Amino acid sequence: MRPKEFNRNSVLEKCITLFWEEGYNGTGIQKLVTISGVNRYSLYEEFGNKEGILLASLELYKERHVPLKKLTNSSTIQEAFYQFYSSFFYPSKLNSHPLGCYISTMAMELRETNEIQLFFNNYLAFLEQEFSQLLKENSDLSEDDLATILKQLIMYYCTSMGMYIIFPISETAKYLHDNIKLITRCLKK
Amino acid sequence: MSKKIDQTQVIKKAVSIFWENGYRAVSYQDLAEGMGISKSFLYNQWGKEQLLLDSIDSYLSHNIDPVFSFIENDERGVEAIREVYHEVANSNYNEDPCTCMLMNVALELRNEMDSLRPVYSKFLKNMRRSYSTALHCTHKAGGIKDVKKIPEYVEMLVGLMFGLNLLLHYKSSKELIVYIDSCFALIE
Repeated sequence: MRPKEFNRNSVLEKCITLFWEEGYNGTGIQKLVTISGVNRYSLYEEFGNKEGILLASLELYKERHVPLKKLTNSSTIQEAFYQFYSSFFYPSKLNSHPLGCYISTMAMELRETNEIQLFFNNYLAFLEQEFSQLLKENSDLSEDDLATILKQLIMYYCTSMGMYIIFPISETAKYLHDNIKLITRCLKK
Repeated sequence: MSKKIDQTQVIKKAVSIFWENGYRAVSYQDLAEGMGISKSFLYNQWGKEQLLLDSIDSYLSHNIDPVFSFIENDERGVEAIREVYHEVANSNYNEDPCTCMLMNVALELRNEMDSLRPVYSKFLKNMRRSYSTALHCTHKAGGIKDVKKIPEYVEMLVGLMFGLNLLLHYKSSKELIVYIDSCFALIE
C-alpha cells in the first residue's frame, strides 16, 4: 500500500479558506500549491483538476462545517433555526473562516457552472430534508403548511447568506431573529 | 473642435460592462474600448473606483428607482411588489442579466471599498420607503390587519430580494414563483 503523502482534509481546509477569501476565479493553481505545501502533480493526481479540488472542498465543508447540531440542540424550533442560521456569522475560533456560508458564496460566484448547479441544488435539498425532519418531529403541520414553511426557510437561508454583505453584522442578527420569528409564528398553537 | 462626450451615455455603457463582468475582471482597456473613450480620458475623468460609483448611481436612477416609484404609486399595494418579484422570476437570465448589479458588485467587493456603504444605505432607504407605502395602501384597503406589523413585513420583503438574487440561478421560473408566493403568504 502506498503511504499517503499528504493529509487530504487538511489540504482541503486550506483550499476552502483560500477560495472563500480570494474567490475561485481569483485563485491560481500556484497559490493552491504554495498554501497546501503539496506539489501540483500530487494535487492533480488526487483531485483531477482545480474544479475537482473545489468540489471536494465543498463536500468537506458540508460534512464538517454546516452546523446541523444547532438544529437538534435547542429547546424550541424557533431557537433551533435561529442558532443554525446565525452560526454562519459567528464561526468557531478554531477555523479562520470568513463570515457567511462557503457553499452559498461559491454558488454565487460560479452560478454558471454545471457541477455547481448540481451541487448547490443537492445542498438545498439536503437542508430542506433536515428542516423537514425537525419540523415533523416537533409540530403537527399539515402537508401544505409544511411545504410552505420549508420554502420560506430555504428562501431565507439564501437571503441571510447574501444579506450580511450589505448589513452590519448586528443588523443581520436582528434581521434573522425577526424573520425566523415571523416564519415560525404558525407553529405556536 | 474636440468631440463632445455625452457622459450619461458613456456611463450607461460602463454599467453594462460592470454588470456583466463584475469589477476586478475589468481592465482600463476593456472599459475605454467599451465606452468608446480614450484610456487617458478615463483616467483623468474618473479612475476605476469613481467610475464604478458613478455607474452604480446611474444604475440606481435608471433601473431601480423607476421600479420603486411604480410600486409606490400603484394602488394595488403589496400586489404590485409581488408583480415585480414575479417579473424577476420570469426573466431569462441567460439572455438578460436580471440579477441586481449592485448586489453582484457588493458580493465581489465585500471585503473592500467602504465608499460603497453610502450607496447601499441609499438603495435600502428607497426600497423600504416604497414597500412601506405599498403595504400601508394594502392596509387601508383591508388587506393587512395589524398596521404595527408593517415594518416587519417590509424587512421580510427587502430580504426576499437578496435570496431571490441567488436562488434565481438555481431554480426554474415556476419553482421561484412558488418560493416567492410562500413568502408573501407571511403577510396577513
